Amino acid sequence: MVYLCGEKYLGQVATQYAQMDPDAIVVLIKDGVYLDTTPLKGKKIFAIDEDVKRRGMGERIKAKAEIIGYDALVDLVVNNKVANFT
Amino acid sequence: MGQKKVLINISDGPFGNIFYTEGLRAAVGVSAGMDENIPTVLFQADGVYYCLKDVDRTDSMAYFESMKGLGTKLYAVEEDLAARGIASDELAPDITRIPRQKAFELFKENDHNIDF
Repeated sequence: MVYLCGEKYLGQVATQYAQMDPDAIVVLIKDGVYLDTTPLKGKKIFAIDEDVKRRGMGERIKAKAEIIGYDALVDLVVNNKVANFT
Repeated sequence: MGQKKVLINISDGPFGNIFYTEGLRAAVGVSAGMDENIPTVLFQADGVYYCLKDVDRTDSMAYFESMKGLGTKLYAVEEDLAARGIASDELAPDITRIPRQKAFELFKENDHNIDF
C-alpha cells in the first residue's frame, strides 16, 4: 500500500502503519518531507521533488528518500491502494 | 459495480472544521444505493476526541442513527486514545477500541479508504 505523508503530525501515524506493512511504499509530500523516516529503514521511500526543492531539503533528504516528480506519483497512486495522511 | 467495503478514516478532532461530520455523512452515503456498499468508520489521531461519551453529537445525530440501523462498526485506535489519556469508561458505548495493528488490517481488507 502507498502511504501518502503530507504533514509531520499525521505522518507519524502513517509511519506506524507503514512499519506493519512489508509492502509499504511511503511518499513524502508537502511538509511530509520533514518527517523522521528512521523507523522506516528498509522501506521504499519517495519524496516529491518540488516540495523538497522549495523547502531546501535536497541535501538533507537525498540519503533517505528517492526524489520523484508528480508524474511518478500519479503512477504510484493509479497502480496501488493508497492511504492518505496529508 | 458490485458491493465494496469502504473504510472511512477520521483523523481530525471535532468542531472547528467539518471533517468529522462529513466523514460520517460519507459513511452513510457509501451504504446507500444499489450496491449497498459496506462502510466502516475508524477514528484515529485527534479524531478519537469525537468518541468521548459527553461530546455533542447533535449535528451528526442523523448519521449515527442511520449507522446504528445499518450495523456500521465504529472503531477508535487504542494507541491514540492512550496518547490523549482517554480511558475506556470515557468512551461512547457505540465505539469499539482496537489496536493499531487491527486498524492496519482494516486498511488492507477494505477495498477503498477515504480520509477526513
